[in-house]
Amino acid sequence: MNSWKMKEIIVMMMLAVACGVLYLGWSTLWLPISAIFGPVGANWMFGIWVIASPLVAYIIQKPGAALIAEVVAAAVELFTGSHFGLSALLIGFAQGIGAEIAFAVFGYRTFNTFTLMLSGVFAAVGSMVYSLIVNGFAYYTTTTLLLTFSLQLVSGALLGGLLAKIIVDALVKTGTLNGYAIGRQRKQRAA
Amino acid sequence: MQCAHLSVRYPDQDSPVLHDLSITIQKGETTLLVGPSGSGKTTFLHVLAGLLPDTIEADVTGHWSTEGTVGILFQQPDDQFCMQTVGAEIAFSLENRQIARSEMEERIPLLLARVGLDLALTTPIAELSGGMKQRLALACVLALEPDILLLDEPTAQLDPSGQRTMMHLIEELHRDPDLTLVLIEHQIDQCVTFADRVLVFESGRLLLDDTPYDVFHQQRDVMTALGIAMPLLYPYGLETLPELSGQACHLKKRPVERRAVGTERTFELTRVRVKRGKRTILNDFSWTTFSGQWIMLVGRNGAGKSTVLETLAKLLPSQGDIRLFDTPLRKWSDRTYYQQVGFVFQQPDFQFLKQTVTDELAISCATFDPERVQTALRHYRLTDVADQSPLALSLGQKRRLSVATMLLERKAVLLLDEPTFGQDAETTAHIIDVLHQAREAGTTVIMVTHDMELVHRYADRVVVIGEERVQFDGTPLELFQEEALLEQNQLFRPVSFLYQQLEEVKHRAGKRHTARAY
Amino acid sequence: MQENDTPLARINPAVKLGMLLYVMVLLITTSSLQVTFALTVLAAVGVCSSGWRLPMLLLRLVPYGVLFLLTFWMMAAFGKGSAELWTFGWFRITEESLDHAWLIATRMLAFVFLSLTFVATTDPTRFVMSLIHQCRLPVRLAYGFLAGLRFIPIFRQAIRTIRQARRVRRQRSIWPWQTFFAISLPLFTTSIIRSEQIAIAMEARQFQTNRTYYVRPIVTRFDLLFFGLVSSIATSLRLFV
Repeated sequence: MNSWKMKEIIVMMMLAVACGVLYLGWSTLWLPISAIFGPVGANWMFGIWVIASPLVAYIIQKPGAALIAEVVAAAVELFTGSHFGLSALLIGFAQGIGAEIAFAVFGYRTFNTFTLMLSGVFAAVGSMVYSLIVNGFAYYTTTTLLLTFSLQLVSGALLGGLLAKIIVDALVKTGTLNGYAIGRQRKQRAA
Repeated sequence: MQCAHLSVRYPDQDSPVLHDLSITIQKGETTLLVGPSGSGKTTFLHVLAGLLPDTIEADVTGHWSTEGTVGILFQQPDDQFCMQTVGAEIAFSLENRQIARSEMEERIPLLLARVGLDLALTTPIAELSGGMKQRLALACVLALEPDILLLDEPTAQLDPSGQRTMMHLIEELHRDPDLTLVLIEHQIDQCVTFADRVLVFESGRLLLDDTPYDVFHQQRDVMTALGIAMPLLYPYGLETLPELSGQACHLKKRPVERRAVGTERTFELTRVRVKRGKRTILNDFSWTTFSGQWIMLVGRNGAGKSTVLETLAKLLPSQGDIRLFDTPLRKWSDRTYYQQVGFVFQQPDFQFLKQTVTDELAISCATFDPERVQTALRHYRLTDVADQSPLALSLGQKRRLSVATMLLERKAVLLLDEPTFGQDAETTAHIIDVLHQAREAGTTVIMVTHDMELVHRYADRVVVIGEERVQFDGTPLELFQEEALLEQNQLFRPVSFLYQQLEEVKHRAGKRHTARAY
Repeated sequence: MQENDTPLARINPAVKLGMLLYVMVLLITTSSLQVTFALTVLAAVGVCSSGWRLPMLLLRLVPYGVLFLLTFWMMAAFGKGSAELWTFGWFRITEESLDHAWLIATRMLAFVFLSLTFVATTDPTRFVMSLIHQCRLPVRLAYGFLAGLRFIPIFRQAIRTIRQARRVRRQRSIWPWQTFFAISLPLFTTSIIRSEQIAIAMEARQFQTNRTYYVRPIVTRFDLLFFGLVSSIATSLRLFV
């Protein structure tokens, strides 16, 4: 933690909290959308809930960023007094661990579209492990389970990883990220 | 506190912000820093605060040193806190200094009293007004027991009553002989009286270093040429201002000529109740507006002025009958309604939708027309940044762009939430000019503002909102007669009005004098 | 989250969290409906003694009710099982799936009760401070987190304004992720700029890890007693019901 600058810590926290607040809004879409697509089909929405990890990790590019970001984003639900607060915290932890592994595998040196999408996928895996144990997904028929899982994997890669990449790249263009790892990386590439 | 041959360059910029600066500031002195925006004042303050190059990355060369503890107060009241409650926030400063818990208990109430805040320690910071937040932030800085206090535009983001309180506090601090004060401030009238010394910055260099009298009086022409905000009265008072001085000419500017009010009705409200959440803002509100009218909404902080705008913009539900062009609001579709009604939000960042300034303007035209976009870019002085992201612009550019997007197509009504707040004189003048043209073209302009000079010079009609009702609805000159009402709503008469009134009295007295001589 | 004056509010927040998580773990590791039911009753006792007024509590349970139905239906109609009770199209309810549906839905209800107990009796600042002192959460992370926490209502207001602006400017997106992108970009930009300001302000106020504490939760004997009592009740429910 000592290698972190204060501004890196704060920007991680603020972006994670912002993601958490966005998650709350996204959650309100869940019920109406699952009425249309069915509860299994609505799993295409899953990816947004793991976007904090790739987003923050891509900006800060330090060990721990992905895990902390997702846990903090999940904690927003607890701190707003939600009755799913503690469950959200646990599931956020599971997703964060997954996302973190994707960057750890590459020694925290590679942050590109591939690793970001991979972190979305691994976050989905983490989430699935949690759901199997806690939410009784193991009791589903194999077809339901596979369908749910594959939708979450794809969604984690696209709405989690890829969208995070697109958002951060747009943020870099505004010049606000010049003082962070992602901004410096851009400058070096340009030079 | 001194620096010698100090130069600073930020990593993402080509030219340095400060060039070879050598300044010595004596203990107990009160120094005012002025200069155009981007001249390096804030950077200089950050250097003195010891924030460069560790906290803020920059290449710093030269020598600088400060004796004693330094405290710094920033511009944005909301961005200086990290705790939830008033007590814990002050404690944060004390914790950093490793003050014992038992001693904190004694010191916190004293610090709150020192900035004139009478609040329970458990009050959430979120419930405070901007002015109170800034006073709390000052208490937090004073908790560090600084020998040197740096103030970076401490009143720029406050409403007029907050500004006054803050300035009184700063003046009191100035009386402490051991405390060195360095201050950046645009409300020059209020601090020039107690400043010992003025440093004028220009493009990272020190241009002038002298007493306030020399800088703001003797060197007045130099300062005006630089476009630096000048004191309205200093070195004179309202009564002693010579009639032919530059300041007098400025203050003598009469309100723009009030157009004959258009005959076409725009909004018509009958017995409307405006609410925000569960709170009632206005009860039984009946109101009619006409085309070509410039209406300004004023009132104290939290009176609900923005809520009234949002209600008129069909963004909040309301009870009662609101009509635009004789058609009830609920019968308008969003598509047609927002062709007629424009809304400029207080924070421009939140109303941008596209990735470049050009695109932002392009989607604001009813039909795409590159020619018109180019004209608008020039008119709003945005050509240089046409390909940048709207979010990357400066404060003034953002504001001009946000107004431009709403005025590319003619609107019947334009609603604006504090469009000139925190803007420099240049952008304010530009925006006011554009709005003036819109009004001439028949648009009803309804804006929330705290700037009573603007009210005096431009408003056809001013509406005071407070305590769930309209307290006043009439011309600015009528409003300025209502002393009790003004005070009750924390409103102040503008200096230009006071001066013109005084002139009139003098003029009348003069006439009487001549009459008697006959 | 806020604190009230119930005995539960006086317990050290980290100890309380540990206790609630322990009950959750017990719930996760059982597949017996009776045990789950017994632990849910324990959680209900917790929520009832956490100072909720009944109408408020019922109101809070409404969204859960909807989710309960959804989860129950999912588990019942798409669950594994052989003893078929009812089929229609691709829905297939079996005895086993019905049992599982009861189990999972009840487990979720218990989680909801535990969360409500926690959020009704815990002050955020005291909680985070307790994490510093009892769980060795790094100080800079903890204060950074508290700084971020202040922005939850501010961000909510920002999102509301962005949506209003999109409405006024007649911008509609076809896909929800386009809306997400459009809202998040200005939201993130302002939060990055403000983060920088806050970090500067905190360091200018001499923020450091060597510090004293205004709020310093400690673990009292009462806390340990409480923890021992609740965990032994929960453990015996888990083992002997």
